[in-house]
Amino acid sequence: MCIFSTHSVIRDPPFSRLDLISCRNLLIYLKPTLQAQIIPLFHYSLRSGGYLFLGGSENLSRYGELFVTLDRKSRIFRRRDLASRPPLPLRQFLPTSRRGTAGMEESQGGLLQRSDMLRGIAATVVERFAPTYVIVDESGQTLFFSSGTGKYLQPAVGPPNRDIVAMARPGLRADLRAALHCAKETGRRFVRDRIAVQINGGTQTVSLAVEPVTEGNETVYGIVFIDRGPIRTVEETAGVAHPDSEDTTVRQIEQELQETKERLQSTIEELETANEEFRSSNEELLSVNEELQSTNEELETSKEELQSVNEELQTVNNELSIKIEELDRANADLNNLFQSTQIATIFLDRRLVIRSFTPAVSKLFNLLPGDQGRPLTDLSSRLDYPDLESDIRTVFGGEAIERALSLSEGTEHYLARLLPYRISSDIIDGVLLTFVDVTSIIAAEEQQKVLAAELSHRVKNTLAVVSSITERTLPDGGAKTDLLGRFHALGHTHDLLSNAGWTEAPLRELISTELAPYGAHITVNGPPVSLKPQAALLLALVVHELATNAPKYGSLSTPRGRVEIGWTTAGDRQRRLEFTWTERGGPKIDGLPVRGFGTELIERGVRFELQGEATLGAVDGGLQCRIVIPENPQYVTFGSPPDEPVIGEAAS
Amino acid sequence: MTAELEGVRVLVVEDEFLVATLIEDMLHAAGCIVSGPIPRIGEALEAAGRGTYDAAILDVNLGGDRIDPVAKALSYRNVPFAFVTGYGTAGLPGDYAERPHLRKPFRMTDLINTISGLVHTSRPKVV
Repeated sequence: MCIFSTHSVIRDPPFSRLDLISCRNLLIYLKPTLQAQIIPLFHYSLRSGGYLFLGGSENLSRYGELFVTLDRKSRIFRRRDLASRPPLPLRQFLPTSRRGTAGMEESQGGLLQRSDMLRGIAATVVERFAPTYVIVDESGQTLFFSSGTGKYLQPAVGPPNRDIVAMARPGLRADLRAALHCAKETGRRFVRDRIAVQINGGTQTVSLAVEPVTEGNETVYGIVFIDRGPIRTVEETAGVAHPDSEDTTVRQIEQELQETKERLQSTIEELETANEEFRSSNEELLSVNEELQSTNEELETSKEELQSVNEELQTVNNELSIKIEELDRANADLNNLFQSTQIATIFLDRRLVIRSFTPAVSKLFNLLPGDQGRPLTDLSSRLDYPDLESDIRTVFGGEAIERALSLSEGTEHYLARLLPYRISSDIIDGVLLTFVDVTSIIAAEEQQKVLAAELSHRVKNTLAVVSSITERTLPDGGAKTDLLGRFHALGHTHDLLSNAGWTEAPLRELISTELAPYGAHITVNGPPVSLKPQAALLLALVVHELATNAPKYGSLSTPRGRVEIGWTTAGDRQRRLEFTWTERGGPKIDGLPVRGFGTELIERGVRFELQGEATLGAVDGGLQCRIVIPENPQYVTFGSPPDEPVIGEAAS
Repeated sequence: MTAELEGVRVLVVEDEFLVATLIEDMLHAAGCIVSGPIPRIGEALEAAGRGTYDAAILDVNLGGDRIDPVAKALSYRNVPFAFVTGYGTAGLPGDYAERPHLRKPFRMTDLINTISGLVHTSRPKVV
């Protein structure tokens, strides 16, 4: 006989004592938790030694110990008899109406006879069977405890405290606070289920209810704890099977959720930490960036500075190049000058070592181009100059020395100049020797002297000839004497001029020559004055005219008469020669001499030729001639002639 | 001496007083109107540019100064001139070597002839 019926292995109560269960390709559609409920059910439903037949890809998974594998490939298993069976979730198959506690109703029936007894019984019953509860006031302070509250509450850490929330065991506290708060806000009952409370040695799932009760104007709250299911130890929580599979599932899910929450929390915290780190890193990066930017700007500035320094350097470099070129040019000029100059020049350092020299030196010293660096004193010389070394030492004192030197028995002449070689105003680093060949100059001077002597000779000869012609042409008399006297005066002046190479003649000698015949009657006073040829000739004639007049008509015509001749070189800005001829002790004269050659020569000639002034007059009865001539290098110079070195004389 | 140069205006530049007065005397004797004598180059140059002359007598060397600027100024104004010199012909200013010249010492007839030559060759005779 075969009976076919629809059967849900999940919802319907199981069959029992079956010989064979064939359940193929069903489990693969179920989740592992449902599978874990169904496999023990199959074990329960089979008789001892019954067979289980599963699909090709299905398995017993965790419940391998309930069955013996007969054919692994075909998935055929035989029920194994066990001493202890895993708890079965059979309660879920009970009808809904029968799920409550039936015993309570029955115990109430017909038992209320005496109220005191009954109240006592009720109290006992309540104490024994009613859920655990606590009464608290509005602020959560406990007012009353029922029995067994220690399961849910424990003394709070610290001083004694009546606060219900502080007393709640772990897992209960948050829900308790939320429930209290909610009930307080709404004023209505608040229920919360499936609260996992950590109790000593395990976890208890409880339902929590908070009931506000108002008595007068005071409201208190009753908090009721109802256990749901047994206490589960830690092992059980992690256990393989649980009869109450729904609770287990919820529990697992909650646990997973809790773990996930914790993980999420720690992940969030890590994320926040990481975020913080990122933020601080970002700030650091920003500051680093700013620093980099400022560094970049500094670099930019430095770069610009470098560029400008570079440009300056380039400019300086260009200037240096130009200077070097100029220096090269100057050096080349100097070299060319050295090569071409005829002036023998030697540069000596402080130890008298030759630093350089010009080729012309080789005429005086036995010097070869390689002789730079040798001491000058080691070299032989053609010069007759024994004092050379001592002169050089003198030059180191800062004094320049000039020497006229002769060579080859007087046929060659050199002017030696020894000068200090200064590298700054007060440091003498050596000596500069120059030797100028003045042979031709000496020769020219000699020739000039010869020519001057010849000229003087010719002029005087001519004068002599003119005198002779006059002597023979004119009859004897005053005119002839005057004429010859004037020729004579000219001749003397030529003598004086030729003595100084026809350059000048001293005034004093000019006068004394002219007045030599009257010696004792003449006084001459005056500073040194030099007359150029033109002035010398004119003044000689003037003095001659005065000197011929005096013996005839003036002071020299008497034995006691005299002539005072004096001159000064006065004047502030423009010096001038003031010459006076004063006659004393002679016959008194009333007026001026008769105008003639002499007076015209004096009065016009001085102004005409020398730009001076000449006056003739009578002072104390004697003739006075006063001549003023401004200083002029063409005519008159004051002071004795300077002692210039005369070229050509041998070194003394 | 005939006054054949009557009224002829002559500029005299000579620095030697006795020579200058000699020339002055000779020209006066010949009837000339004498300007000068002038002994210095500055004054001579000024006179050459300013006055009116029929002829001029110039010393080549004035106390060391050459006469050339005065000669140039006179040439520019077409005033005929002759040099008086102690040097030879070689001593004359290069540009004016062809000009007439009197060698020192000279006689009055030499001077008068020279002036006449200057006056008669350079322009029609003054009426």
